[in-house]
Amino acid sequence: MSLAYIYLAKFYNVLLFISNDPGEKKDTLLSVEPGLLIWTIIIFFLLLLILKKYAWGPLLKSLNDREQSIKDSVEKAEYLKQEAEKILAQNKQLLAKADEDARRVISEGKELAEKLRNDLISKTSDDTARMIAQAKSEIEREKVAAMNSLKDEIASLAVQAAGKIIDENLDAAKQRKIIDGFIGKIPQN
Amino acid sequence: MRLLTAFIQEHAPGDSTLVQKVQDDGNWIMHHISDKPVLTIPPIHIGGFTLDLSISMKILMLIIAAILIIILFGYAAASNKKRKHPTGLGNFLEMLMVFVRDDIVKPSMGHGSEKYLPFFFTMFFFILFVNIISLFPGMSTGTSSISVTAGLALITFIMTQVHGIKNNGFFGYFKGLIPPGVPIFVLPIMVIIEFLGLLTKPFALAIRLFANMTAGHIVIYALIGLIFMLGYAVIPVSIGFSLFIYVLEILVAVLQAYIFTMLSALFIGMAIHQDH
Repeated sequence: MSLAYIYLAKFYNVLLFISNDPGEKKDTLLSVEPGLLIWTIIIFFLLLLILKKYAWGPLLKSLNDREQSIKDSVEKAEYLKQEAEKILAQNKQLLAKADEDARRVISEGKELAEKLRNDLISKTSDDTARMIAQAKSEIEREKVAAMNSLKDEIASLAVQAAGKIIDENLDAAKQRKIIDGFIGKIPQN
Repeated sequence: MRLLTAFIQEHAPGDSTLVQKVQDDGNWIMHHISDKPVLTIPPIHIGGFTLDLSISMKILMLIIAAILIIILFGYAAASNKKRKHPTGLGNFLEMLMVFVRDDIVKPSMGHGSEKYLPFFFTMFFFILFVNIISLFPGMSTGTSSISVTAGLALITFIMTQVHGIKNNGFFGYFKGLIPPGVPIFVLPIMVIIEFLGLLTKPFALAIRLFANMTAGHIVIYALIGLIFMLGYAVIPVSIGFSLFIYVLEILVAVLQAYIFTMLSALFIGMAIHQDH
């Protein structure tokens, strides 16, 4: 028990900064020595002066320069990204337009081709019809001409036959026979 | 002291050697905590005032820390200037600088903090290096002296007043200390409170740093002393706890540099921007 008290007392001694030797200079923990204080201030300001010139100045300058350059780089990258996005959007738009144009051209071509084909078809059928009509009318005309020439031939044959009949003394029966024979000679149409 | 002896006689009467033992053990710790002269310079007498400018162990620590900082940051500056992308030590120190700038000074001071950055860099790294080198065996703790921390706090105090007056004008600065809209009859009290507030801020800074850096060492010494007090059976406990406190001190070393710089930035920022 007493040991604990002794230990407690020791702490008490130290913590109260008690100088134990009465003859000793009053040098306790809480006494401020002006010499030490002045040295501290002198050392601090010397350190401040030297470091300001040789360390803080250059270090802060390089630090600020680097931070500025990083900031600039980031800003530039941001700007370039925006620009690239803009260009990309533009490209997309152009591409879409080109696509649309191509589609339009194709559809127009298709339409034109269709029209041309229809035109051609209708024209061809018209031509054909016209040719057929022409041919028909030609045939008709030829037929008429043929009939006319046939009629002439018949008339001349009739005249010849009439002359023969006159020449050969014809009787009614004979006449009949001749005419029948003649008519029989006429080709059917 | 009388209180202590009375305390012992009350609880352990008749043990005359115990009082001496307690005093010796206390002296042993005090001996390790207190300063030792390295280079004695004869004291200067100005008026009735004696100024002892001897280089002591703690001043030596401050000088070693300062030289270390100059070498490291000089190297970092040269190395970072050479290449576009800092590497290795230059990169690491620059990372710390960015931490001080963006996480300590800027949030505490607000706008217009760029001008004061060299001051806060110096303050942060000076305290950090003094704290860190105190953890190496054979070194002393510069910041475990109230004189050193008082010097640092005095620098903050002077910077606060100088920049406050510079930015707001002499009368504007002292008028701005009193919050607007205070009734007239409270004014005398407010003047006293604000004036005391000016002084307590650096006082708290000094005590905080000093106490934090001293306490860890005292606890380690006390834990080691436990071995000689209670016998060798407590060695594992003592060593284990000492190690734990030692690791904790690494954290404290960084934390106190951070807190000191942050509060300095806060005080100076408050003096500059009095409107909020």
